[in-house]
Amino acid sequence: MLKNEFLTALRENLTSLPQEDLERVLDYYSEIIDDCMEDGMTEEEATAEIGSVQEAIANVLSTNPERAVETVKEKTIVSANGASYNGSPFRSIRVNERECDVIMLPSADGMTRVEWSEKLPHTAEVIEGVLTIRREEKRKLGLFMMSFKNEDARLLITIPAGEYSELGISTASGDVKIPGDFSFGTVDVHSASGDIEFRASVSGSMRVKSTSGDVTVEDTDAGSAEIGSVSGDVEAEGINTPGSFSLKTISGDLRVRNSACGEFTAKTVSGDLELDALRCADCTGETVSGDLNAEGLNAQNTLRFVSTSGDIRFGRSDAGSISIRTLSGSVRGSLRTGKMFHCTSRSGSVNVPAPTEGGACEVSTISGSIRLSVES
Amino acid sequence: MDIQLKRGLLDVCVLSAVKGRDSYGYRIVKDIKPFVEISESTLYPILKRLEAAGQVTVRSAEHNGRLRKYYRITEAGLERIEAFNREWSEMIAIYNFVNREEENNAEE
Repeated sequence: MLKNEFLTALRENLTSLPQEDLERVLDYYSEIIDDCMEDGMTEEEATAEIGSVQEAIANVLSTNPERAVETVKEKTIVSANGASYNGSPFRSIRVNERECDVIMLPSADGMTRVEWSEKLPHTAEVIEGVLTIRREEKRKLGLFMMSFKNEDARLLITIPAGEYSELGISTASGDVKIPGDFSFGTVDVHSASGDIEFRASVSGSMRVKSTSGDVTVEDTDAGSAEIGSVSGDVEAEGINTPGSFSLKTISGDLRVRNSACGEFTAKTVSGDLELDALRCADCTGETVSGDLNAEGLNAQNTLRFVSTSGDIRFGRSDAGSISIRTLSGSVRGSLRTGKMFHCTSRSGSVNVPAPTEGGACEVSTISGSIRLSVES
Repeated sequence: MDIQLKRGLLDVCVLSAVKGRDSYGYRIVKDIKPFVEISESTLYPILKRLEAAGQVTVRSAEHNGRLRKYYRITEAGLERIEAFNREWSEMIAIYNFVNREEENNAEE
């Protein structure tokens, strides 16, 4: 391509620019091509050195605020009723993301759109019924790996509200937000350092996990639920599952409110465990150094609390049978009904009501004290 | 690399390229290219941004019978480089912390 052809192509494609800006762009490229030629290149080499006309246009338009808004949403799939641009419908959604926040939204017009910043290229296509969205792998510069967040770093997935088969999301540093407008067969969401907010319902199994981010799950019906983080906090409210409900962290706190489930398990090493208004068939709570607090807990069959050095407290709670063990922590609690109490502490004080008929309540600690009461 | 960070680095590189002497588009790209990925096309918005922020000024001068635009750094531009250096020494301190040698348990 010769210099004149390059400049003409620019002129023809930048008609939206004010005349003054256009002249400035043309002067700029004209000067650069002249300088390249002065440096010993031929005219063709000089235009090749600059790169493509498209690249030039994209860069010029990125400085124009009106156009910048458009380019942010440049790549878009538009379709009706869950059919993609090429007409194939999808039942499942799979997202492989790196730094962008993944945000799902219900579409108002029944169309499907996937939007991202053109500076963070993705691909979106329907493969065998799965809307597959990937952050493109190409990494141009690998010098520094600092992750200051960029405001454009969002992946917006707008799809019709309703039922889908599978949802799979994995992301490195981006957050994930799934609102309550959707229901899925199975869900597997994982973020390495991002936070996760999940409100959709799931008929089968649900796994929502982050490594260092916080995880919030709210108002969710699920077949079974597995929620966790390594160092982040986990909060679950309004979870309803006939199956198992398990929560796990290493150093984060675990908090569960107003939920009902079959088998309940919560494990943390140094985080605290807080249960408020939980109804379940069986309940297991384990910590190493974290405290364990329960209020209004009702386990139909068994309740098991285990801690090494954490304190254990519960109020207005009950279970068919109760087993509590801690080494150095103390145990305080009030129960709804009398139990066959069997409580021992090697060096701490023990203060419990007289045993009555009812389920077993075994409490043991080495150095902590035990105080239990029965509310009538 | 993170886009925001890269953008900031490019700004500072361009400022630095016009720091000692006034320079022009082609030479700025040539000077920076060995260190950071940059093209003539990506330079355009950077120059425009720096000019709008008052960190460089532009003048046209005759060169071999044509006009060439020369960019010169301003006080504000020099301050931007200073700010970058301050931030960077903080980053280096953090880097050193992250990659420190595990200390032996000195308390024992």
